Amino acid sequence: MMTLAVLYPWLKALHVAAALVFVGGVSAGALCLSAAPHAAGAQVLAAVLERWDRYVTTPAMLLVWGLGLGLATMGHWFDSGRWLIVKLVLVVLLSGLHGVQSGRLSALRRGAAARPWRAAPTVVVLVAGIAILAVVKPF
Amino acid sequence: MDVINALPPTSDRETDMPPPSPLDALRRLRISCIAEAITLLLLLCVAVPLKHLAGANWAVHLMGPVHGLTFLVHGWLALRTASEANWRGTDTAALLGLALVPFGGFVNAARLSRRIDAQRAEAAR
Repeated sequence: MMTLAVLYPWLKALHVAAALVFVGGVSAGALCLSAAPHAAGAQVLAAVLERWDRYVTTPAMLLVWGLGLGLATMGHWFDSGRWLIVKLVLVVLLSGLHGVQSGRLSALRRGAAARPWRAAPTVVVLVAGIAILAVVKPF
Repeated sequence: MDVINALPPTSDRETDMPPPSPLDALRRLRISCIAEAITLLLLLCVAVPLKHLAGANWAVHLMGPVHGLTFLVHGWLALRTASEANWRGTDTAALLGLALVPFGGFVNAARLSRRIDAQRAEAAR
């Protein structure tokens, strides 16, 4: 019989793996959309990335949320300080950014004109903030 | 590209296939509005009173994350749909802001129903 204590590191590892896949997908989407106004074949690239987004990045994001909330509840992390609340805000911002990118990729695939998009630096800052808060737990 | 090609086939996988209907996105968003509104009401009207009147903390511990996840899915779908259809910022803000208010999700769902009807009528013309 698996206890929660045995299960916890496995769920945490799955959470981290899902987060890495999610961040990879968001970064790829940000780069594709920033290049789209100047690139030939952007519509084909958007179609490929949209499929990746639908079957890999978005499920990874849902896993990150579900496992993250489960781990925080199991580990009583909500009582441990404000770092988790700030981390949650950053994760929500990153997820919102992904939602906007996902819609833009879909529009681009359908043939809409590419609009300027510069989100890659924001993605880097958000991910760095999330990693620092998760590892250092500064407050 | 091999990994991409290994993904499940979809009816719209190639750019020369007809794109999915924008109405599907609006219908999904309407469902998320209703789900978000119901979980918020369950949290505020059932779980919180149970905690304070009967000491049943489990109700809030159950409904809190459930509503949190539902709200996140709703917010994500709202941003995705608004971004895809290039909605005005005020429409998107209303969709997200009303979700914070009890019964606001039902107002959002009604507004989306009107938008769906309008798009259907436009497509029939």
